[in-house]
Amino acid sequence: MSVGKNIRMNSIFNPDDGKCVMLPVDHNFLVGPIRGLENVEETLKRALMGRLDAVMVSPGQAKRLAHLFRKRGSPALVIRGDWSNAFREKTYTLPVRSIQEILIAHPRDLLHLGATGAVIYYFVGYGDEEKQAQHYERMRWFIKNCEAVELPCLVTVMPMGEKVSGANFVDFLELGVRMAVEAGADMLEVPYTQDVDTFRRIVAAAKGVPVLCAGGPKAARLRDTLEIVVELLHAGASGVVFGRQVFQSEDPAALLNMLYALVHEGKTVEEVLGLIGRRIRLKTLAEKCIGCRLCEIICSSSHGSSFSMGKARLRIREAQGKYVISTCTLCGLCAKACPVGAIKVNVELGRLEFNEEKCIGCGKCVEACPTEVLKLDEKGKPLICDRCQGDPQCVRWCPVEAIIAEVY
Amino acid sequence: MELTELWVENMRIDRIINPESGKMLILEIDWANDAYSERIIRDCRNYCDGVIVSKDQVNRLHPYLMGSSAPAFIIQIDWKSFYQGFQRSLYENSEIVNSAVEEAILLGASSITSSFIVGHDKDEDEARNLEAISFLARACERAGVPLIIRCLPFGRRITKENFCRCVELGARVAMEAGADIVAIPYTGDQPSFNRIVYGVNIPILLLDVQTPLGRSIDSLKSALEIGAVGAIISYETLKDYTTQKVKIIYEVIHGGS
Repeated sequence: MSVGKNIRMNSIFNPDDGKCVMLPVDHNFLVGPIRGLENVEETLKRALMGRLDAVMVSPGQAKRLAHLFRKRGSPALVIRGDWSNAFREKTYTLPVRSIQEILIAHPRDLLHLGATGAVIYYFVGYGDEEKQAQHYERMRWFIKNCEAVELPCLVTVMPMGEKVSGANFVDFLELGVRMAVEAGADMLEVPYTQDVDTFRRIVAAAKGVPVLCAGGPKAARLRDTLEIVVELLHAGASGVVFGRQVFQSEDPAALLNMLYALVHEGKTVEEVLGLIGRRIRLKTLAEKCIGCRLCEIICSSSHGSSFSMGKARLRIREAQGKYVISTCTLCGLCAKACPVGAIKVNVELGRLEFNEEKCIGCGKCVEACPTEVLKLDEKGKPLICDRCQGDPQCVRWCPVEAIIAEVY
Repeated sequence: MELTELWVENMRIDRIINPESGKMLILEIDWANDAYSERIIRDCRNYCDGVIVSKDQVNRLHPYLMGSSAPAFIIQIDWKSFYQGFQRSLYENSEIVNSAVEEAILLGASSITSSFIVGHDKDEDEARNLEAISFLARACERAGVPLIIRCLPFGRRITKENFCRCVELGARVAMEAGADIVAIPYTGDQPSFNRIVYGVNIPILLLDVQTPLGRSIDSLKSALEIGAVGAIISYETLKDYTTQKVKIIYEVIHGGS
């Protein structure tokens, strides 16, 4: 690799771990105004308070917002070198009728705008073979000219067009990745294939070229987003390109910090969510509960090997057509009632601790419990809520977020 | 972008902007024949800050464009002209764009303008239009010339219902492609126009075209209140202009009357 390109690649990817967190804000160019990018400058100002390695912008934004990237330590600028209408779905103004993809700049021009890298799309799956060939030719031309000016080229591979279906999506993605690698792409961005094994196939097809994963539409739950990132990293991804997930969140900088901690610092989801080693309070939102009782099932299975709702450390009851969620409130009455001190409240970690050896199975704790969630197992020992050692499974599995872990 | 080019670009923009009010009125006369365009510029040269002309018109009208009090001139480059004789995309033929910009600088233009039509019947035409203005923006960046893009919602796909969204789409795309100033028609009400001014975040001019929502001097006042930096008046006003009419518009823009 030439010196110029090597320096630029290491500005996009952290040289210590070879990974990258990139924030794309070029959506307005492709689909028109979208939520979260009503004013790109203000969104970027908020996001840049978090940690990230690179920002993806259109040429116009690069020129307009250069003042945001002037100081030392600013993220690298990856500037778009093409445009497409392919993402204008029915919900957008003037929806697409025939997919178009054009180049809008020579790589030399992007370098002139202060680019550390360039980005273009490569769609694979056109019904028209000639159009596919022209698209490949354009990508090849662009990459060749990026090489001439030592500008690293990121190719976003997307299965798109008449030939693509749900069944062959991964095959087309793999084909597109191979074609982009053969054309000389320096880094790749791909959509998530929805499972680790197929994503590993894509990483393998890249033959050592760094693969970044696109975030796609905003996920319903933050935890889902973060868990996908961990999966991707395990599958060999070199980082993420998360746009809507970030700028449509309430606090873009906080989410970027979480992504950075996962990607660069190898932290777990629980760690970045700030749950481990902190005092946790379970907050219940009964109005959201749909009565699926998944929390009870998962509670019993995570504390033993059985799926028995009778062994859950929380309780769902139906009263007057509504559901009532009862969880341990850490009132400490069970600990006070225990004659042998087998139950203790760990104030620092905010959870109950149970010493099975001391327990005599008298059942006084169950009688003292005001929420009636405490019960005895078949051996006569109380089933206490230990907050799953900082990662409450009821919170994790509830499909409607009716139980929330609050750090206090 | 190099610092020198930035200040050259700013210097050229400052030639169009009225130093007292910080606003501008531009007359588009490239559609008019020789005699009529000469008449307009002769009558109205004291009531405008810039004129949009074609390269050929510069040769004919240059006596009116000389002197420190003369309006700045902006050269109109028709994006379709780039595709004459070429079937392929512009990326391999970008010299044609570069030479068009260079020619405009040599003539002494303060800015370059082109149009972006929103609502082409064919998606291929939209792509070509965008490709042309993008390469034009790149050439202008290199040369340090500001680029004014006029967004024109036009065609069968534009309806009264989607008009505002189409104007917004056009303005956003033009800005992201690299326009320095965007000219758009009035969207009919202040909130929708304000949304565009807030989102686009570059100077916006009001474009004088016949829209489904009508046009009036009130639209101009309303747009100026929200943050438009001036207007481009064209065929719709100038086809039956009087000097007095142009003077009133000039005073509305600069004097706030």
